[in-house]
Amino acid sequence: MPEIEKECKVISKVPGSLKGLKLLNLDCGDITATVDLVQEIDIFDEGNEVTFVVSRDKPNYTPNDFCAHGYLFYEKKSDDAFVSLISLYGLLVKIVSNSGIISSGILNMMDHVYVCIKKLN
Amino acid sequence: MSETEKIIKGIQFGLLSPDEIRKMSVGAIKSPDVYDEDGTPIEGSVLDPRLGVIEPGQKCPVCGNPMGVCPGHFGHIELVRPVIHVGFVKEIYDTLKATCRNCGRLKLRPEKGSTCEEFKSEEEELTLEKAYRILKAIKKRYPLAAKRLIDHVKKTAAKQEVCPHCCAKQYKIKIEKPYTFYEERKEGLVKLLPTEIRERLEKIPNEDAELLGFDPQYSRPEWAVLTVLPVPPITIRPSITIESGMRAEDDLTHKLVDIIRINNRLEESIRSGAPQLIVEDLWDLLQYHVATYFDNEIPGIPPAKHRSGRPLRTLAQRLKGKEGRFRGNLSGKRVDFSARTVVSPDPNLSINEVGVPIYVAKILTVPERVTKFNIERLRQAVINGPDKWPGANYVIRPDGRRIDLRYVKDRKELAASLTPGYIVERHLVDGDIVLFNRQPSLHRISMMAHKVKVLPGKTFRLNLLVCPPYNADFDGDEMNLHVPQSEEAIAEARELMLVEKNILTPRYGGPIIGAGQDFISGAYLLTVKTTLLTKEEAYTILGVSDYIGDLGEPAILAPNEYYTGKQIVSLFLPKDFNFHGTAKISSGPRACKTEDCPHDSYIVIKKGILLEGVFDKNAIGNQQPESILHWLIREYGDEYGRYLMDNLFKVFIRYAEMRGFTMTLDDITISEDAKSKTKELIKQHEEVVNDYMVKYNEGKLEPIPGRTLEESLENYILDTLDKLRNSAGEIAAQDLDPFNNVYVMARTGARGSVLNITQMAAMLGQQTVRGERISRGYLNRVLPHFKVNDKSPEARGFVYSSFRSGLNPIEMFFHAAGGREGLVDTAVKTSQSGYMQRRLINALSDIRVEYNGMVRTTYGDVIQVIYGDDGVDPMRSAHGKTFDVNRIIERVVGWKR
Ligand SMILES: [Mg+2]
Ligand SMILES: [Zn+2]
Ligand SMILES: [Zn+2]
Repeated sequence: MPEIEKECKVISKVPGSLKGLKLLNLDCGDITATVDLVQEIDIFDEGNEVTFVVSRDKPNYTPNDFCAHGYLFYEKKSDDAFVSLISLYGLLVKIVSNSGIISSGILNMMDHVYVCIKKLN
Repeated sequence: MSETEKIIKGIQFGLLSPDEIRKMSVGAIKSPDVYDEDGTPIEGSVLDPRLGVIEPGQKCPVCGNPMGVCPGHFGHIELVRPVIHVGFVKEIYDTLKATCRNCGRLKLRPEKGSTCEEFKSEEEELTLEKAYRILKAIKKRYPLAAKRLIDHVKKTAAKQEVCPHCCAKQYKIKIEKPYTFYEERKEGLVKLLPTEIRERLEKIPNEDAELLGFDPQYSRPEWAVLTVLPVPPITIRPSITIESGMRAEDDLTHKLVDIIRINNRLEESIRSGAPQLIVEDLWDLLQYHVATYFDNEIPGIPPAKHRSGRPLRTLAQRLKGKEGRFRGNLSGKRVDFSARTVVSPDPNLSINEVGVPIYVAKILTVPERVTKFNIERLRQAVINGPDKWPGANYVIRPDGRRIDLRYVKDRKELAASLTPGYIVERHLVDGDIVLFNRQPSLHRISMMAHKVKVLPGKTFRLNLLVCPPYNADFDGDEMNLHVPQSEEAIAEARELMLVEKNILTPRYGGPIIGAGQDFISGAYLLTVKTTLLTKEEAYTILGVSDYIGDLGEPAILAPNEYYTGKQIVSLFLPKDFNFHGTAKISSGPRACKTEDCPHDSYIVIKKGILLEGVFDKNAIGNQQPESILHWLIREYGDEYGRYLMDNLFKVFIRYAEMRGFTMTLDDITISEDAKSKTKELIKQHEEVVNDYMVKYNEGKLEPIPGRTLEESLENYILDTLDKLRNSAGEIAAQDLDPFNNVYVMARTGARGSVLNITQMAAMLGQQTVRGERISRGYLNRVLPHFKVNDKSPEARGFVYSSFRSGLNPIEMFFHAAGGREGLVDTAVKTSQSGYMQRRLINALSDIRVEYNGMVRTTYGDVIQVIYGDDGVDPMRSAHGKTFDVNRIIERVVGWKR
């Protein structure tokens, strides 16, 4: 069982602050996620319905999905939301949640995790 | 050998008395001619055989020794008239002034009082006896205080116009440089002849001489006026035979012949009763020759010249200066087993290696003792001989006989006869330890040990990362190489001086060896998070390293497999390494203070994985203390540091090569829009400058406290123009792509700065000389192209153009004027700091750290109870601190934060 599995909507895809970097904003109900994308892996469009998976075990995936692995390495409470960061060896996945991922015991600091975003339709 | 061992307790300096000179002489030298008709040296000439042997095979008639063993012997010249020794003119002058012209006593009041009516006592406290008592008491223990007392005595005595002892009236003594003395009598200036001077000095009693700083036992004042001149042994002034068979004499010999010739003529003139005028002329000439014999660079008299017009190199010239005996032959000397050639780069060498040309490797040798383990290799070396590398040049037999392999007919036979105990001086081979050095050797890492890598070519090659400690570049720099010869020297060099053991400098406890220039650009480009690599690309860049191990799962699995640059870097990091901090690119709009950073400018490494942030100058740069590189080397050792530089750093370069890295004109070309914005800006700021000038002319300008009105105006204008350039730079910065390669270099710290980009793209700005606008040149204007007293920006060195657009001739002139100052500065600074450094080194070179940690002089005086008063070795410190608490916490639990 994946530690996090959410149905999300791609709200927007905006240029990031580095050359060739795009930020994919996902709305997953109780959490939101921002995913770094570069041209090679940019397979999403605004409005896409996706499944957002964070898992210790390697999930199943197809070449139509985005799937990568890395480490959960940061979590801080800012205002009233928790900001958690996963580094996919450089590309960041930023997850904003109410209760945090480490704080609520779902994952631990420096857990090796797979992050997949699969298109639903 | 029955030499008794003696220990030198001290050295006594003094003057040679005429008697001593005669006593140590083997005979008077009188003949001005050197050789007779058949070319043998004349006895009684300056080449008298008794002065020492210089021909091989001859025996010395004085000591019976052959050449090389006979130390040479002194002769002497009896001067017909005394002459002043130029080296002691000051002492003679002081002494004449302080003593009575009549009785020779020191002109200090005797304790019992002076009987002379005219002597004015002035309640002068210092009496002759008292001064003598004080001197006796302090001379041994406080030599510097004694020197001050002597100066005081001289000054007091010189003031007396009447001798307190014999009541004789004193005249003022005048000196005409370099060596003529006069007395200012009523009838006018009267010249004091050396004979008179010597007579006066002779009259000074020993006690009085002591108060004038003489130690009469070793130097009586009158000995400073020469009556006998020593003739040095031929060994210090050998004659040389040039190919044509002609003999050429040493400069000193020439000079001595001159002296003898004039001395003889003077004698002849006196004997024949020549007019006084002629005698005095000859006497003066003798004085000149003796003076220039000692020092041929006396100010005020023309130097003695060779027939060719070249000034003679006499005694003082042999000792003085950079090429002189002290600095040229004693402090430093030419050495064997060394080589020098141009250096060039080779990124494929280890930082520990140095590329040595085969040609050099065949000349430099290492003595290797034959054992049963190396005998086959050394036999082969002997067979290869001096011309085939890796061979050998000499074999030393157990009985000490040295065999030159150039002249051995059958080297195979000699090789076969090698047995343990022989020593083979074999060619330099890969892995030998050598010392490598580049002048000026300003710190200890100007000389480091390298491992030899014999290569074709004619240059020494070194890894680019070792350039900073040597301050070397490849625009023609040459370096020296030395081969240690003993096992101890080799071991010391390897264990203490090897490059990897000097990555951390003792100067500030940071890595002096580290990335620069392309290494940094490459590291940035590889580690920035937008860089994805295919498996093939990952293989390509890792191929230049010695990395052995699994590549691991690609970071991106779908839609395609990609490795990231950070993944590649992480392969080289220790698995328990933690670090967090800002990158160099974290500044201005791209600054980050926490991990939540969209710019990739905050570095996070946890458990040896580079999770976030780029590697740039802050992380891996040279001369960057407390950086990732610094902590890696400190915590995982020098060898690991070398491993990183030989492998990871090469990967950076390889990535830059693969991706391509260059600069184009476009990188510094701003748009038309930005140009017109700049023009607008110029107009605005010119108006401000004009306003200031109008206010100044009307006297309404508000002066800056502590400055004149004019200075204030200049200040206001400089401020305004500085703002103009900054604003122009900002316009350019907004217009240019912040990710173009020029910007990448500036932001990562690889090369260049934002100011450089501003000057290339926007405008050069104000050129200054000594911090002020340029104002000198023609009368009241710099160039004739301006009206006089024009204070406008363009008339005072403001350059509106950029390097991209090009400068007009006037701007180019101003830029050159400003640039010249920098060149002059560096030239002056290096010479001044070089002199200061040499004096400091000479003053401190005997201080050492004892085994108990104390810092002492050679005499055992304590300088510090513990080194640096804290016992910290800066090289092994945490950037000067004993330890760094924050770093220790980070190391242990940093991954949890
Ligand atoms: Mg150079
Ligand atoms: Zn001799
Ligand atoms: Zn007197």
